[in-house]
Amino acid sequence: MGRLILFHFIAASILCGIWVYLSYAIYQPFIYDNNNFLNDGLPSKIFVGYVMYIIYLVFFYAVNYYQSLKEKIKKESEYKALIREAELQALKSQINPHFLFNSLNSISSLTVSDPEKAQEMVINLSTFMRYSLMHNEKEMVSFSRELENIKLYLSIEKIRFGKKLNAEFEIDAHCLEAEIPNMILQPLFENAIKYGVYETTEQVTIKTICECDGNLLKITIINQYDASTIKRRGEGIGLRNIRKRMEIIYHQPDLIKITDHKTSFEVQLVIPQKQAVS
Amino acid sequence: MSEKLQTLIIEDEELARNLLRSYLKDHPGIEVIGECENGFDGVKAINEKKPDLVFLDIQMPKITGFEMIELLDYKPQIIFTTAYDQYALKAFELNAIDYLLKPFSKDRLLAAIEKVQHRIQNGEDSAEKLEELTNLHPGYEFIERIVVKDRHKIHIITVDKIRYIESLDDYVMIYTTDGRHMKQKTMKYFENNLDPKNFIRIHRSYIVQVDNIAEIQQYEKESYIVILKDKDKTKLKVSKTGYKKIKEVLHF
Repeated sequence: MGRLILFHFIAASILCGIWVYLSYAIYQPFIYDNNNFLNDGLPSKIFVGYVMYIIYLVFFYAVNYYQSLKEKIKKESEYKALIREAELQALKSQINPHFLFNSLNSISSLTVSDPEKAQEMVINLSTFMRYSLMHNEKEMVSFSRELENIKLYLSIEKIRFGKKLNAEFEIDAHCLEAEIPNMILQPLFENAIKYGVYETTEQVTIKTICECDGNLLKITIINQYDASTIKRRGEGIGLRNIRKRMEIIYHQPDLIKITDHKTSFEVQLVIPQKQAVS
Repeated sequence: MSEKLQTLIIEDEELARNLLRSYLKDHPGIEVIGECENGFDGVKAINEKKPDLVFLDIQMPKITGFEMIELLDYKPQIIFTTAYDQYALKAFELNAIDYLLKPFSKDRLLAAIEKVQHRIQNGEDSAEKLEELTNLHPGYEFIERIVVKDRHKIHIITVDKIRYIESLDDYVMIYTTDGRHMKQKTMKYFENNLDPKNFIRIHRSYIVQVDNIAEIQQYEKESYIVILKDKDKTKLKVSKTGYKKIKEVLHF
């Protein structure tokens, strides 16, 4: 800092000297009394010279600062968008390898006993996987699209679990146009199957209720579970990721509500809509 | 080999069972003597029928394939089947245990059977290997439940029901909110695998559930006892290191 001031002082002095000399040299032919011109105007000329240097300097630094600030703001917002993107990416559900390999095993079995059904399952599995790969490109989808995918997922699991898995839907028809983050429901159904269907030997019903309320789409998923074999821990990674993802997208906490009724488990998602759905 | 291996299939998914059955159907060395859909039936069937070979799925309702092994009086040769379980795979590799990754080919299955036949011919027992397998650290998570068998009934104890565990030489006695159960496991196993935020080894002979502690009393210079929250106000000795651990967990 001290060196910078010294540098500017020397620069200002040199420029000031040049300026005074030049003005003297230029005016000289028109002035009769050289001594007077020099003596009267010199201190004020030198002062003006320094002031002008300072004005230039301030202007230069201001422009410089403004530009770097602009750059910084741009970089920061880019960085933030990048982080948001990465966070959202990380929070999106991946296809569970357990689900994938078990489904493939079911297909392997069906190729022996029921080739037609095996083919149907291969196609369903492909469609489901294609949808879940698509979520890298698009953040929001229509609820009807997401629901279709869930039904596909359940139909695949139904082939594995047979009568043990029973799915019921109560969907308000005019909710279907609502917008919803894609693949946000799948982890909820995966949980319902993991804790409900997988852990018991009896039939388990997974019930999905969906209603629209002004600008809100409310989706409730209820599954029975066997409390004697598992200790529900409330919020696992799957639910936590959905909560975070909703927070990033909607900037609102508490859009997911979890209730443990001891023999059944209920998750409610509230999804804000840009326009009222009716 | 003249005699066929008496074989049991324990697998919860019907399609997976069908496939195994069709693979084994015309195998000259195998006779399938039964199929079970869950671990409870599996334990019963193994103890009663004493098969030579069991195909055992790991992920099953009620109790897992691993938990099942802990409950067996009789330990047959076992070929595990699993779709995806990285922890289990590591454990199998460590203990040279046979497993099949779903979906598997008939050739893979035949090779696994051949290995088992070889072991039986050499008179190799599976008990020791399986024992080691069940004593391994379950890996990434703390245990959430303990499976025990009293005479003929299997109980699943979720860890929140445990009041305390007492060591009895080679066994432990697990005191729960509705009774007590004996289990052949070491104190070390429970100390390592129960969440230390909730369970403290307060003494060589005791592990206590933190929420179950009513008070801590000093009865001599530098020796303490814990009084539990139950009708009998059970008193348990606390060792010096145990006292330190209690202080750490309860922050006093």
